[in-house]
Amino acid sequence: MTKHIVSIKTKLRRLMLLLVAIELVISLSLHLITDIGKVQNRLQSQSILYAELLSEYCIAPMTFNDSAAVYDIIKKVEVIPKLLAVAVYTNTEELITLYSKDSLIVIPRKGIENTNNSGIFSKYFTKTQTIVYNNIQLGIICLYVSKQEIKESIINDIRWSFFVSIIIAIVGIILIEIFQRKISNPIIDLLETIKTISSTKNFNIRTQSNTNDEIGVLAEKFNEFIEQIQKKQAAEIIAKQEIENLNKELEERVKQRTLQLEQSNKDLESFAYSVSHDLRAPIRHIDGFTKMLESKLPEKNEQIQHYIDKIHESSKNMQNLISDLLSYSRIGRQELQMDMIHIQSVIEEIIETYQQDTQDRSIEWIIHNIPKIYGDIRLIRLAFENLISNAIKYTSKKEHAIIEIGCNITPETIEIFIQDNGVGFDQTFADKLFGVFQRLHSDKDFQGTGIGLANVKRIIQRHGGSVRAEGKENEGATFYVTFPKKKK
Amino acid sequence: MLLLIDGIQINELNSGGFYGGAQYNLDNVERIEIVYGPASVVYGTNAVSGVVNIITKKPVTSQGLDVHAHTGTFNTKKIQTGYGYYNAQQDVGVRVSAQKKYTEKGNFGGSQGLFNWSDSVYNFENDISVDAKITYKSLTFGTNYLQKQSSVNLYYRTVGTAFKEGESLWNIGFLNSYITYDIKPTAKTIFTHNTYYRNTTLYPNTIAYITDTAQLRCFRPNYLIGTELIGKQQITDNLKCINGIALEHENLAKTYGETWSNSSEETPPRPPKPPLLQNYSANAFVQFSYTIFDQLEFTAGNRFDYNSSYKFVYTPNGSIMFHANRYNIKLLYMEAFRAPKPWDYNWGVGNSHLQPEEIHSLELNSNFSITPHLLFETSVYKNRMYNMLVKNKTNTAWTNADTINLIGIETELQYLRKVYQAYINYTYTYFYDKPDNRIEEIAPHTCNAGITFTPNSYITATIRCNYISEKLNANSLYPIIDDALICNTKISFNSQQNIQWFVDVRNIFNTEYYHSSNRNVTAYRQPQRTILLGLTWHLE
Amino acid sequence: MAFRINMNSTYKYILVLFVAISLWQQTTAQTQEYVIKAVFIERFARFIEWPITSKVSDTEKPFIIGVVGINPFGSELEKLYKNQTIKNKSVIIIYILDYKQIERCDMIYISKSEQTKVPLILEYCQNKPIITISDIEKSLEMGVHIAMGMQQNKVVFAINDKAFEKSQCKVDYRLKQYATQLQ
Repeated sequence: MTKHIVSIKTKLRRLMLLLVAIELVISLSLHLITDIGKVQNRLQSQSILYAELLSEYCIAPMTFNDSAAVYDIIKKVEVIPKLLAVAVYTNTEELITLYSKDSLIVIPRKGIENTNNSGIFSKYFTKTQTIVYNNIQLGIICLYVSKQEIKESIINDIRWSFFVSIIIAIVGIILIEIFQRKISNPIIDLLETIKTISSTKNFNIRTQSNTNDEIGVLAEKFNEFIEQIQKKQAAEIIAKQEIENLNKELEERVKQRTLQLEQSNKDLESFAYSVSHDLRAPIRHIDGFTKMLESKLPEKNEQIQHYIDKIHESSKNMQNLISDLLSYSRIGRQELQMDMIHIQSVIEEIIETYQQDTQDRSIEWIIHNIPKIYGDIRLIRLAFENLISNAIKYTSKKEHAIIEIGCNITPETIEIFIQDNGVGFDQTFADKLFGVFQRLHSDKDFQGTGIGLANVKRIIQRHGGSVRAEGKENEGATFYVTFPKKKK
Repeated sequence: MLLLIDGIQINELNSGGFYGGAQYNLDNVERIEIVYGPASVVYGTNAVSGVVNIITKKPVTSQGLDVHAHTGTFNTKKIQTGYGYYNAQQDVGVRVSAQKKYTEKGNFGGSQGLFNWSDSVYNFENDISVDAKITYKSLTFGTNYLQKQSSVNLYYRTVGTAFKEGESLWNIGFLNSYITYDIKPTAKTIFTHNTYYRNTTLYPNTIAYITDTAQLRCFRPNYLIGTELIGKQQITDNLKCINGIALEHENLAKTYGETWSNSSEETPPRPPKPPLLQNYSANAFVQFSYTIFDQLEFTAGNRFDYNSSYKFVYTPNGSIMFHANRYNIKLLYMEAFRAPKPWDYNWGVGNSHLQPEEIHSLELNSNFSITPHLLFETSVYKNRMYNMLVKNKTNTAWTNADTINLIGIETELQYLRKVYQAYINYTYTYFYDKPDNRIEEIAPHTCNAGITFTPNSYITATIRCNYISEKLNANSLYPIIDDALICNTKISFNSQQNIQWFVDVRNIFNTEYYHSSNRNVTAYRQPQRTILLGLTWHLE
Repeated sequence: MAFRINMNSTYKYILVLFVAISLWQQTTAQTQEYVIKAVFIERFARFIEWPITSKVSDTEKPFIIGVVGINPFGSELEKLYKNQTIKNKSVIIIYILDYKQIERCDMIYISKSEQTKVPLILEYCQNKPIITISDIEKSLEMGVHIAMGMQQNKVVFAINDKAFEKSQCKVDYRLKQYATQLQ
């Protein structure tokens, strides 16, 4: 794997250059900003001064409504370059007279221009001052002050900043070059030595580096390390020989073992399955009997109840562990593993496992002969577990339950049916029964998921078969599972 | 209940239901407006028990950058950030905000989950929400997007009576986009025109079930476009009117698109798009309020809804309100309805003749200021609900058959001062024609109380307690759910300007309580004790 | 020069009308001048400070303006000062025939008819805080405080500093600055 190498020298240079640049930017910007502030303040105070002076001079002419005399006075701003125009208004903001150096400025006839909020780039700002004598306001004077000074100050500062930046950059680059060498050179030397050693495989070479920092220590340790490698190299060669001999022996053994393992895996899976099934039975015993004990308690006794709860907890725990064990034995299997299955014995095993649960009920099982079918035993078993447990569940409210399992054979197919005399269902609902999010009965009446039958349908479809159901309310239900016969 | 964000419904389109969960961005909320009681006259379907309108922050009032974050037990983390900008001269503003939350909710392994799962059970919720709003004078363009991802293996038993552990995922998204503008032709009239697009989709990477032999993947898209015009007029000094018309067109999935895989570890392929049903609706309403003399106000209104599935519904209402200096009394009559949805029409063999469920409610409500700091409110109401959806006799479809009658009473006492605020409230519901006078899922008694203590501008501390009485559950294994008292507390500190820290402990005593929706209680344990530590930072 | 006044009647009427209008304009111009001069009286007063001991300091007492000689203002003064105050005092106009009345006034206006009597009138004002104003030619040299005149159809005025010094009244420099220097 080749990496995109960026040299340490470059990184150091970049870092230092970046630092210098940041410092420059920060200080020059601050300088610029404070300068602008100063110029603005100066401009403000000057304009206040001019406004007050002019207003003083205008008092007498304004008192006598002498607009010509007012004009004479304001004309005097001719000599002040930063005043672009002066306009004098009555108290009702109507223009009396004006003097303007710049014909582009529009001076309103009615209403005074107030540019307090003008942007940074406007040409001027206005300063208004009332003309007052002895508490009588005679009129209002409005000065148009040029912002040229500010612009000039900004441009000046920027020029100066460029100049300074260039000088600092040059000096900086020279110094950076000198200082980064102190750090990068020792590292690069070390690298070169390693490259040489690795390409020539000559472990006699040692590196030279005597700087008084971590790099120096690294170099030292590296030398020690190379020595050790040298020693090991020698030992290696001897060991290699031995290994080659052993290898040949091993290969033989491996072949044998693999065969053994494959066999034992198969055994293990079926073992895990039957063991866990066998474990389930006693647990159901415990659970069932505990329930019976509970119901037989003559009076409510907290301590005994507590013991019973604990037993119940533990048995639930055990059941979970067994479930996990079962899952474990099935992990990773996605493809169907088809074989001829003795479905009748599978069904009988399933019924056996439910015996404990149904001990206190009266169920009559009628099981006919069913030929072998071609399928994946694990999936088929799950499908029938679901169908049989449904039959048991939905006959739970019947005094005497009758569950019949049989088959109809045609030239192409084997159709297995499971018929019960339980609570049944409305036939109009038959198609929806195998849908995922539909449950016929609520949790109020019967516990359950919504996915059981959908799962069964899926499994049977994977086998190329089909499912259907027939039912009548309160009379019972029949589920039909059709498998195609295996073609020879 | 009808939930709106910025005036647009956020209920899930296919079922019409309000989606609970942590996907709402509550840090971007300017205020929440609540209308109590049936309010379909103005709001239409689903406004049966009330309307909650969450109004998100506007650029003009929420400028600058703010950041909220918290972390806590059960691997809980949240980061939320919002930014607003407003230019007063041109009256234009923008506000955007985004939130991401993750939590593993609680421990459900072992004894905590009644031994249904092992300790490695997988339970998480991951939420994202993004809001954006642009305002220009009286025109607003907004988008609210919420996405909730959570595991579902706790809810569905998948094998016999066992729950299967594994990596299930329920991934649902809600998108509301709208353009609104106001027109004010005269000083006394204002019209608001609102056009919107809503999309609630269960994304196709949803793994709804995991069984022993397969995974089931689902996809359900739904969307709707609509436009409405609402007018408010002040006709004379005493008479005002609010009216509106609206048109909607919706495309809802008829069923889920489904695919299966071949083992419990294998992910199925992407499900196909299910067939979509189309639906049109139009509605109009008008409501007048008349002030007879200063203290007495009288209102009356009616709404007319037409929908291509359920045809016509009318919901009138009326009220009289009297208010004096320190107290006021209201007598209200209200009707509301809940429209049936594809979920209901297509269940089982289907019933295309379903009508909306209706509620007619009569309420007497009053509140008093006993002293300037002590407020007392009480209300008594009688509700009759008609055409409630129940399964038909053969359990093959929904039908309108049930009638529920109830009387309820609610009282609340509030004490408000600068340093202390406290409240306590109590409600009781009595179903007088049901056995036991109770109905499933509703706790007859509830009581809530809380105190907030603000000694200075740096510290705020709150304690809240909620009590829910025992309730019936329509489930054969767990017919009764026990009562529960849940306590929460939160303490927050304002450190230097704009930063606020808080410690939030919910369910301090780790009470076990359940909201099971008539299913097995085991999967619906509500949050266990959760400790959160967080901060809020605001930069102008 | 002889010319024929042998016009027909329409021309005659036009001529008469023309003469009448110009005469009327003359008189309005004249009355216009005195309206301005009347207004100026109040304006002058703004810039003048009477001594504290004089009766001008008492705002209860009215400010009295006296017109000495034939009244050129018509009813302008009354119209103007009905609602206008001077130094926050109400204004009373008196028309003086007997010079003894002068000492009641705070400001007097010496009309052109008294051209020859100016020095005499000034004697009555000596050492009293009475400001004298006049539009008589050369009255400033005679010792009147403020002399008004016409220059290019504009009312102008000039100020006599010495006269102010003698009468214990002070005049603001701004008025002096604005006043024309020579009449």
